Amino acid sequence: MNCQQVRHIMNDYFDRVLSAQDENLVEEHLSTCQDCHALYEDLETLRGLIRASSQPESLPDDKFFALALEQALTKGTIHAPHTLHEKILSSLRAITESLLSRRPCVWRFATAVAIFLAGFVIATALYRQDVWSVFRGSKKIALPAHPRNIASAPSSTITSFPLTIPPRKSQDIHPSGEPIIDKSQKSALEAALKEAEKAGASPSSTNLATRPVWGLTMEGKTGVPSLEGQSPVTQEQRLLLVASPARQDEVIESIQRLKLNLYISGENRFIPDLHKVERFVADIADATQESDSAYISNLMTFQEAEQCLVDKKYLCAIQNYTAVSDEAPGSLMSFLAEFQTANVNYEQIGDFKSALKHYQKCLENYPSHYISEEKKEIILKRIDLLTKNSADDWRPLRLFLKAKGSDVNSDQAVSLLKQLITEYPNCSLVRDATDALASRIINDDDASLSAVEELIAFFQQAREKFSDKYIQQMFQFKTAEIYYQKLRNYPQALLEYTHVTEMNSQSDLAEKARTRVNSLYRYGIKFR
Amino acid sequence: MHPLNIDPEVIKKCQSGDESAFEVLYNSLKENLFRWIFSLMRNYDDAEEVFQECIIRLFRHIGSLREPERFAHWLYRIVVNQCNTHRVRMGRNVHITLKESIEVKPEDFVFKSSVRENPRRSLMRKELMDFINKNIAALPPKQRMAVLLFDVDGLSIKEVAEYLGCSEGAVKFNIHEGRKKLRIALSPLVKNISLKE
Repeated sequence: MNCQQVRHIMNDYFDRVLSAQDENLVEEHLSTCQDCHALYEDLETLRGLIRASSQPESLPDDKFFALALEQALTKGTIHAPHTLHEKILSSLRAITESLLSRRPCVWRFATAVAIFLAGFVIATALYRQDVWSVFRGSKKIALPAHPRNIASAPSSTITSFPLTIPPRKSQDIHPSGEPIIDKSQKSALEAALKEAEKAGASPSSTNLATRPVWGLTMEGKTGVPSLEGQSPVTQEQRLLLVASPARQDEVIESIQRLKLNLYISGENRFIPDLHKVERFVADIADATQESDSAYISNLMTFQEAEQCLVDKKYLCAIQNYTAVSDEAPGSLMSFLAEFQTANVNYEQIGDFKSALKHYQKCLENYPSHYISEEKKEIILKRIDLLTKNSADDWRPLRLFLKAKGSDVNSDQAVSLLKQLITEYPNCSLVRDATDALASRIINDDDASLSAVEELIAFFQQAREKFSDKYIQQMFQFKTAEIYYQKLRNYPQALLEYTHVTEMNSQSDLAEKARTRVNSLYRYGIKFR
Repeated sequence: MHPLNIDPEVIKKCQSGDESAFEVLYNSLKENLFRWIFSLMRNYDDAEEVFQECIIRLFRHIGSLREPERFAHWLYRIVVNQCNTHRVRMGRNVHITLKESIEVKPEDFVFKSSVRENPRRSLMRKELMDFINKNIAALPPKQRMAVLLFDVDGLSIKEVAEYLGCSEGAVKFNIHEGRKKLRIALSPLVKNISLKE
């Protein structure tokens, strides 16, 4: 054995936990190596120091011991719980005592949380009442008579078919939180479409500008009213567009863009409100002079794809998205289909090669105004991740995504993230994994003290192994955050944050650490 | 493990509510118990406070001990938990860097006064003990407890893991790290200190 190997297991040798074979090898080395032998002697001296100092200079006097006994006798009685009721009460008492023995701020915090939760419940109830009233109030949106139809079909107007926005019932909500498509609506929609086809005549030059349009602002380029900035409910109620024959193509394209942006806009999830989609399809059918069946058909294929996503039939979803892209290449709907295909490959199936290909197509094959800032950020971030972590068949990325998935429990997630950091120290995901680890522990109310301290030990160990200074500082910072946010050990946290600032005073982590240090000092926390 | 040699019959009498039996129990273990607690807390005032808490809990909960034969283990758990609780409550987990430690010289290092001690030597000895205890107390809690339970009380890795509620691997890591920090912090006393490991 060489010195490095011996020093690595010196503690185990000192504690006599090595195998006989390893012990012999170490002893053989110690007999010839002065440095390692000196290290062994240090450990012996250290143990001697610790043991010798563990005895008090003197014991307390008899008065102290008498007082301690008296306190014990007066503060309680010996009681052994016998019945189940007594055992439960005993446990509850122990828990209460444990809580009461902590600092009073725990109770203040608990009270604050209770008040917050009560307020949240009340606010949610009031909000839902408001939304419900809107839904209840908009039972029918009767379309005004189409001027061209007034002229050409004297006895009938466009059917004001019931474009109901059905109130949300609990059974309408998919277990995952997404709305379930109402098949009856689809039939009504198809019937309404047919009716619209029957009622529609060939395009006429009748000026349709007199059709009322409510609360709409004009968009610059196409001159088509823009609904952006309005609430989805307002948009639904007020959506009615003018479509003159000459500008039909423009309008259809604008409608396409507006509709799709409406139900996707502002959402982090990409499963749309399918009720809204049906509504929009009906509006489109009504607004266009001809029932653009190819477009409607494509939109319905898109709906099917989204429904497959809700039903977790991912391959089926991809097939439908591909059909949409093939049917209307270059269109906004095609872009969205491309985007969703990339997302399904990335998030659900794990086919990162395809995901990368489709994300790149999103950027390269479509005009930039199709891509919202939010989507662009996601696409760029994922391309970056996929490009940088393609080694080993994207294994670090797989570990990372698996840890973030909903089908792993907290312990499994922690184990996966630690595995990523240990096995792939050079990958770009180390920082995200460290972040995720710290967040998990801090936000997990069920995390045990031992799990927290194990993570701190892991961070300390990892800090010594990494050569990247920023990552070393990051581990130190996260350790400080755990002491601060989870353990509420403010003096220790203060110390750890101070170490962060000493490691690299110019970094963003040092800046954050300084902020914490200042606030801790403000609250009177100091080194003891 | 500090031997307590408590007769299980005394425990059983305490469990039945016999206060005089409890006094007998108390008198037989109070000194050893205080020494235990001091070895973990390393501070006289803290040790007194924790001792009082432990005695109250001992008296209150001895009735729930199902196996009187395991009294020593049960009491030990109370001690370890109360030490941890006290430390967390008082927030006394501070690392001391080398530059903050007091200056000591190896020749001042005396453990046993084999000769009649003069006041100066006694004071220096006290300072040394304070220095050592301060550095031990400054270790992170898990490392401190692991080192003390293992190196001072002689518990096995498995027993330490059981008392601290963590894995054996974590215990080993904590012991090694704690020793490493102490070797550096107590370097004026540990002659052959080598920082290259």
